[in-house]
Amino acid sequence: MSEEGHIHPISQIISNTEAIFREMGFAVASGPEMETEYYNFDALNIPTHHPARDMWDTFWIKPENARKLLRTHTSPVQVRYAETHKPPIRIIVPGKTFRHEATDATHEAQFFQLEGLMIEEDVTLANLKFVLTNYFEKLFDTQTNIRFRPSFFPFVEPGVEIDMSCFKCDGSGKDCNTCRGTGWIEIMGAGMVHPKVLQAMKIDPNKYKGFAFGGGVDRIAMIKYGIDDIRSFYSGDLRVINQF
Amino acid sequence: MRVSYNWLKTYFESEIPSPEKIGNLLTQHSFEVESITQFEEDFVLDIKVLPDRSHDCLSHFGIAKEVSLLTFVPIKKEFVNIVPISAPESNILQVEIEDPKLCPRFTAVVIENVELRESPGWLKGALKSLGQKSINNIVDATNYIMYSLGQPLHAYDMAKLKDESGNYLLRARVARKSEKVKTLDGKEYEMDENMQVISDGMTGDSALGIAGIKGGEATKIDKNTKSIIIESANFHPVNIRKTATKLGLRTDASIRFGNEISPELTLPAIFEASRLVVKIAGTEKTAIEGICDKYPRRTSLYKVGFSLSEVQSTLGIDISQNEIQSILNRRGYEWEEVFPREKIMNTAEGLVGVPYKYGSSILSDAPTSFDCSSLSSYLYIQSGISLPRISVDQYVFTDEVKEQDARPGDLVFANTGKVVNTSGLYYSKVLDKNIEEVPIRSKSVEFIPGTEVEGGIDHVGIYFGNGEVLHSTKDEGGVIKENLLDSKNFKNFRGFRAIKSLDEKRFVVTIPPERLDLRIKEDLIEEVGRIYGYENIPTKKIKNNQIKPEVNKDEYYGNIIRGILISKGFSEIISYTFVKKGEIELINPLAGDKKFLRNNLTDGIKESLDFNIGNALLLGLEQIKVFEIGNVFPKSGEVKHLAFGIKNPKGSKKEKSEDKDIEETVNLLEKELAIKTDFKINNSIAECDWSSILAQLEDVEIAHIPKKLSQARYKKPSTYPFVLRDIAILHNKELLKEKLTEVIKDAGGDTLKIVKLFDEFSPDKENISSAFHLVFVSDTKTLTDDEVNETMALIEEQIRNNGWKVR
Repeated sequence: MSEEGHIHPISQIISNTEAIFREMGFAVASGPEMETEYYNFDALNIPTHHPARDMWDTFWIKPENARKLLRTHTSPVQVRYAETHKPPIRIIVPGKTFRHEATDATHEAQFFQLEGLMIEEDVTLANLKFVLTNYFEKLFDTQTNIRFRPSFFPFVEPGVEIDMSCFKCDGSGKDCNTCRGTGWIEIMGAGMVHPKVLQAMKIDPNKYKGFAFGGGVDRIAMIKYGIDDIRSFYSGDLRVINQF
Repeated sequence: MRVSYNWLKTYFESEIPSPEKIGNLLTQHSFEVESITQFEEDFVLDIKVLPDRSHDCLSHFGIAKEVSLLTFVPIKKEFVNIVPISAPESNILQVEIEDPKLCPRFTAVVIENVELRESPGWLKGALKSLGQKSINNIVDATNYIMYSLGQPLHAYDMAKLKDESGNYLLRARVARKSEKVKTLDGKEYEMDENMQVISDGMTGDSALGIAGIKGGEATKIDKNTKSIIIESANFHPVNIRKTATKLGLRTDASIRFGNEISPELTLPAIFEASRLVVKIAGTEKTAIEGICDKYPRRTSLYKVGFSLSEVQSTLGIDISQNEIQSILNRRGYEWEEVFPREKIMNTAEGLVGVPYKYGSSILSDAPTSFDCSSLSSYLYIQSGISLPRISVDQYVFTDEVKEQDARPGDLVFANTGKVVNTSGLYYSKVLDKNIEEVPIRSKSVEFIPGTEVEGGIDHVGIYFGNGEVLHSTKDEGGVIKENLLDSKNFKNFRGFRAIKSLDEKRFVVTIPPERLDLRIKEDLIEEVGRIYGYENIPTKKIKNNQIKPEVNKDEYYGNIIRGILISKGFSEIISYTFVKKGEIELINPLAGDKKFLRNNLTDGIKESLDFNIGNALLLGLEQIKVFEIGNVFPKSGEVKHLAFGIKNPKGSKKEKSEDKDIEETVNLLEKELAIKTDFKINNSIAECDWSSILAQLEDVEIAHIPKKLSQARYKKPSTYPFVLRDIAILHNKELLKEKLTEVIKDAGGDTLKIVKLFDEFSPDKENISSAFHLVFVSDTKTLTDDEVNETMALIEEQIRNNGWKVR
């Protein structure tokens, strides 16, 4: 009787994430890895020559005038989805994304992002808190708290960084390597969808509101499993993959 | 950005909390403090100031204001409103701006009879804490003011400028084609006609420095400098960024201008710089000769409004009116609470007779001139509602109101049908591009661009009740109030419209000039929220969906196929998209051998098979079987592929060959999914287009239930080579293999990773001889033969102790 093979830990996290969000009424949307400048930046309120563009180091594709790139986040899929679906919208978008960054143990040029979007007539940051707390609790299988810190992303306002309580030390921080003694792990960026982005989605910001969130699946996997090198995910090394 | 704690203290009347406490407050309420390090007698905070706060917080004073807000320690009076210096308009210096769009403001001061000296210790120390070198007292003073107030300055040696009978002229203009500038560090840069320079306007108009980025060598301050000019200007952010990028120059000045700062900063910076220069570079003869200030397009302050319900329904907090008021006061904002309709009507009343001007700007022309839509926009903005600028956009922004329900403050729309003389382009600040001028628009321009409005709109007015409308019309020369039914312009009436925020009390906040980040109500809501504290946001359940979310067919079948393949022993890999050869090329690859996007999965599968085959024993596998589902990039366009491959170790006892296994797998997939596939098979790797599979599969309504998430505790594979030994043991046939394996494992210790049975036979009726592969590897070093032999000896000892025999 031959042994069963192993699903890649990233795929495992993605499929379990999809199931958790499905229970909350979220569908899964997907889109292309090679994107246009419009969907990746302009529609998300990140205009050319704006300093905010520096927040995403981009791979551009020849020829230059085609303005094609490898997506730096899966947010473009949200804009595409909104073109064919009217609110209420609840979607998550997992997918491969690319950043033009030097690679090391915690940085890779390709990695997987998980983003989410919820647009309805009545949505608040308190709802966002519920959705993410519920997600992390189910994923890490332990009571979890999350907290918001002020931050900035051009496609949301207010914009926040999200920390989750460290599941390793239950948020105490005591002698904990996972959270470096703080009790908190930085895990996602989020906020209320910027009215300009809603307008690009042809949604009236006077009638609808929404929140969006995004984070790295690789990072979640590294934290959950104690993997210290992001490059291990892409080495095709079964000594890594077959542990899961 | 590095911030010195001691420097921060200089802005405060009394003691401020410790660096740690401040760091924590800033991180929770303003921006992330990434580190706090001790630096001699000081502490340096590394603060992550993001683009939204780079307008006002790339400076110690900006940070100090945040600290004051959060700690309630007041800022010193002399900084709350920077005291002007008493200086006349300069008699000898003039400044000129060629294009106010590129250089909105140019302020300068002439200081005579200064003395170049070493900077005082406190100044050297302050700059050192930021990692900046001290140059001389004058240059240091200009740098100090930049890090203090966020306004870059530049000092010129006046003697090195050309003059005409004692008159000097500094000009901000674009460079001439191929004009060269030699900067302070001796480097030479060739400019183009898009880049700005500061030039010596008197003779030859020679370029003195790269505007907003770096000063020139020609007017460098040196020990002979007697009189100086300090330039304090403002430049268009995009222009500076583009120039800096093109020239490959990034300076503290270009960073600040590139992030956009308020033109209001130039003058206070001149005041502070003058005082500082007099203090540290002054003699009894030092005199501030005069100031010149060119600010051609002064704009009025922005007004942004929000209501209590808008704050609550965004943040999800039950914050009260009082709490909002106290936060606005804490921040020192100028604000009022208004009833929108009341405010509109009261303001409108006073505007009758104001002249008409087409394309009138709300910030620079109102309230002394209006066109039809700038009037309505201006009035709504006074009541805190950000009504769009263009009339058709205002139509889309608002909702229909039935005639009998029309109330004062509502908007009235019309299509006058006039062919107005408009041509050329309108620069849309909202869209950051030029729009063609069109007299009657039937599609919205800036608000939900492209929204169709049947019949088109070109005129708007404010309904005054009692059948009266107030509007600005060219025909009557400006703002008039008249009977709606009699109005020529409203003959082709297109409806009353309003917005529900007209009926709720609103906060209207006057935005301080340096807060370029506060432009829409959401910006203010964030301001209120972060100061109030995000820890106050509760957790609120979301409504249950009536309809089950649609199932993503792609994901569904991806999971099904993964399940089929792993049941056949395949493991999933994810390989790199960047490869050496391909059809789609990157403009900026990370490495020479990663220039292309992959056009197949087979190469990645092969690499993985080749890599893993060497570890087959360590993995305890008889075959290496891997698969991948991922996107590839042929010239025809991005597509998803599925690929899987098999490799057997050399001399393995596998009965089937790799190709046969591949064939079996293909058949299994076709059978399980009831489809036909067109896998291309090469060297026991099969690959096919995903959509051809998906097209044959039905849509699904019930989502896939995934396997439970692995709870493995990851162990990093050793980087050291493994050692292989075999052992054959003779034992009673009743003995369970598990027990035998357990004994071997126990005796083998940490370095024994795999115990794998590979053969057995019965030499006689009672006994069995079992043969095992043993794989040893250490996490910390390469194992020597001696070390492995030692362990083998221990294992053999244990075997004998159990009464079995080692063969």
